[in-house]
Amino acid sequence: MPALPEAPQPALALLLQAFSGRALQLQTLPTTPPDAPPARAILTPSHLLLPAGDWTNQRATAAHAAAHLLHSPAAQASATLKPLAQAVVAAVEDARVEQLLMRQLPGLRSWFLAGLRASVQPQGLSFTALVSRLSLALHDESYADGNAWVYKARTLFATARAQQGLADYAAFRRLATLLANDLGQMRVRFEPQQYAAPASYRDDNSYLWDHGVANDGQAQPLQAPLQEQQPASGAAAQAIESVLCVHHYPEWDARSAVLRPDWCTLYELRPLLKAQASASRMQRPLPPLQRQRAQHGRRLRRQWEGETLDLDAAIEAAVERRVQGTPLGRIFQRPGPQIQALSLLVLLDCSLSTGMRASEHAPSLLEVEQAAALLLARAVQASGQRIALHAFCSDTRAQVRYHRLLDFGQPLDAQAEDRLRALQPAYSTRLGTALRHATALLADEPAERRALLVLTDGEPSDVDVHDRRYLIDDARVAVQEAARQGVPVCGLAVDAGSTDYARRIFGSGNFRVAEAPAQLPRQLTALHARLTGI
Amino acid sequence: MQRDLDDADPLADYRVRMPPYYRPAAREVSLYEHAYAHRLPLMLKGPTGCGKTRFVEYMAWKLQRPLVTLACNEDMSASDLVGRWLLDERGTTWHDGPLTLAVRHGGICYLDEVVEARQDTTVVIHPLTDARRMLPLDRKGEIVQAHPDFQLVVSYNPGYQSRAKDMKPSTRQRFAALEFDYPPEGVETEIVAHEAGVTPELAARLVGIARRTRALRERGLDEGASTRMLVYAGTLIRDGVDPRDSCDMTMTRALTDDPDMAAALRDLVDASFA
Repeated sequence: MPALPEAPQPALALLLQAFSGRALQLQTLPTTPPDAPPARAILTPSHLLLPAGDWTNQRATAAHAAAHLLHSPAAQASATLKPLAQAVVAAVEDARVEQLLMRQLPGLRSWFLAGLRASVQPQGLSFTALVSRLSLALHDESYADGNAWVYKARTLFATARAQQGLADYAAFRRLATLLANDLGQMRVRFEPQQYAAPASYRDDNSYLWDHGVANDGQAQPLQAPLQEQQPASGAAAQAIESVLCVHHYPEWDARSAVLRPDWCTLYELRPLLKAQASASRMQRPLPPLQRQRAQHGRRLRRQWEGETLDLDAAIEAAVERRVQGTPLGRIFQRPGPQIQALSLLVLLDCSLSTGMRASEHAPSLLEVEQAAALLLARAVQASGQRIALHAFCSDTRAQVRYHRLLDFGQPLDAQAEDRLRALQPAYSTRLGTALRHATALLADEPAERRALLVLTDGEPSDVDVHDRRYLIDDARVAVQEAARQGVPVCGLAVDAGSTDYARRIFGSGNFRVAEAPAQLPRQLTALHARLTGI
Repeated sequence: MQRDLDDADPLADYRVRMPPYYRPAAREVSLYEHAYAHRLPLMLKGPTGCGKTRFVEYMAWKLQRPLVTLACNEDMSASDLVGRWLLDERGTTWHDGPLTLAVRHGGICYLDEVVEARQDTTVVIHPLTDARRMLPLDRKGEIVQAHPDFQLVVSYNPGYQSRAKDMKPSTRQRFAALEFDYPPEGVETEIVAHEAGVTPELAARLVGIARRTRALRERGLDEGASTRMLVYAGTLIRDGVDPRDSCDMTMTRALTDDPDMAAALRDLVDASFA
């Protein structure tokens, strides 16, 4: 599998949303061959594709993109304009929308000027050089440029800004057309194939134009949005065999920033009961879960000793003494151990990849998950708290499979252990839907505190989703929904490279990464400690 | 003399003497006045720092009623609300709790962040919030009929409260509710300029930042920057602190621990100041 280009920093997407108020998908462009013109960002109404670059440049790109999104009319018919005129109109449009945005965010001026100053060719007379001089001249009053065309551009721009105002797209397009005509008469050469906007932070302006059918492929270099998929009747029938109940859950589409209602179908399946041959391997000793230390919780009243007086008890004791009774000495209060019951739902990922083994005799991740979950369940039940073990996998959005291996209040008996051991790795990881279902199940728990713990081996994926960010974003939204309902979600990922997506999904501090399956039990203990300590 | 005054007005300390600054954003003042005219219990909903508490102070001043405010917390017991027996040289004497004071002498009792109190604590307000308008003091064996001026107001923030901490439906249904949100841009600018004592231009800048952070609420921020935060930021800037440092201190660091979010917010602030 070819390495995917590194995803842009998550902060950039947040910044772009803060600037534009719109949620766009960000992707990194593959590197270009050395003989091609330098790569420029590509903006569409739903995506921003950026060339790899440093943060200073990328944040300016995000600001520039926001300026277009907020102020540029998109997809104007380009048929009447020659390529040279398009490039000049685009350069003037870049300056116009940047100035509009700078009115609200004056700090952007230094971001943009840095990029423009770095790219300007002060003496150059090529098309690219002239555009670089024009772009700087329009923003930077202190920049001195002796060229007559640049001077004319500056004057026309300033006049239009003063008379029509920056919001008047048509006025600036008219003056840009004039400037383009001048360039034509000056016989400046323009090669559309070799041209890229001189400032590296600016995009290729394909956002502005609708080139008609011929160039459509170039204007939208993105994969098509998810196809609507009807549940395959065969697959559904197969699942129904042992189905206990069917639920429909929405899914978050980050590109259009909508929650698609009833998008995924979840089947709760009757767990299998046959024990597997691999059961013996699970007897491998694993480090025991540590006992939790007493947590800071509610105040204990009427104690023999403590940090402060329990006012009500103290008064009663004093009254008792006045009436010559025997006062009870229990007049203190102190912070007590956590006495609120915690209901913990552990969600196991049993997708196909969890069945892989490092070597023939090593336990698969699923087996380690099973063993660790079993130990955790024993420890939690022994401490009088409630725990449930559920597992999930998915085969497209039409079929998310969900197994309730151990439910709240059920004893962890041989049958439950068999159910856990009978779990078979299969299919993929549509985490968000499973999270929504688990959250809904937890809502029925009477405990004051509820929590969800996810054990997974990799980022969410499914065969009907090609954009690797899509299910990550959906899972993050599901985690946030759960948190809003009072269910904190923690994740434990057994995948060395999972820090980025795990943080995206669970939020910083709410996940652990186990580099190898062997670390899983210890990390699980640590996470459980965190959950009980909240 | 002092004693006489106290006897005359046991709620003297709770009177709002100076008119608090409050800039109405919509019709909330007249709606409150109507609710008060019929002594309807009121629930104020809204995000952190959008002006709920200030609004109640303002209304108490406007209606010339004492305001008894209680910040609710998990350790609060019913005695902390209604009162308890205390000992002095003569024996035990009953001391009214803040709620009882307001009920007996006719004040507005404001329970701030009411969902923070345990549900078994909040049920003591039930008999006050229906036609009975009375407060039974179990330990004292007294039933206090509410003064005609008494009104109960509670506030809560629907944004971050967990489901476990939600109000019981039986409690909720007793209240008429006013929903608050951050004020419209122009009004918020006016508020920040007034409260922080900064120019309208700077206030507008700060409001611009806040509105942009509020757009990130679904993407990892629990809440966007509040009006109160902007007032803090403005106050520090007026004091001579660099705007970027001030916003970093009062907004970015206060809002998030996530390094990516902090980076985005810091750049947003950087972009907002020339």
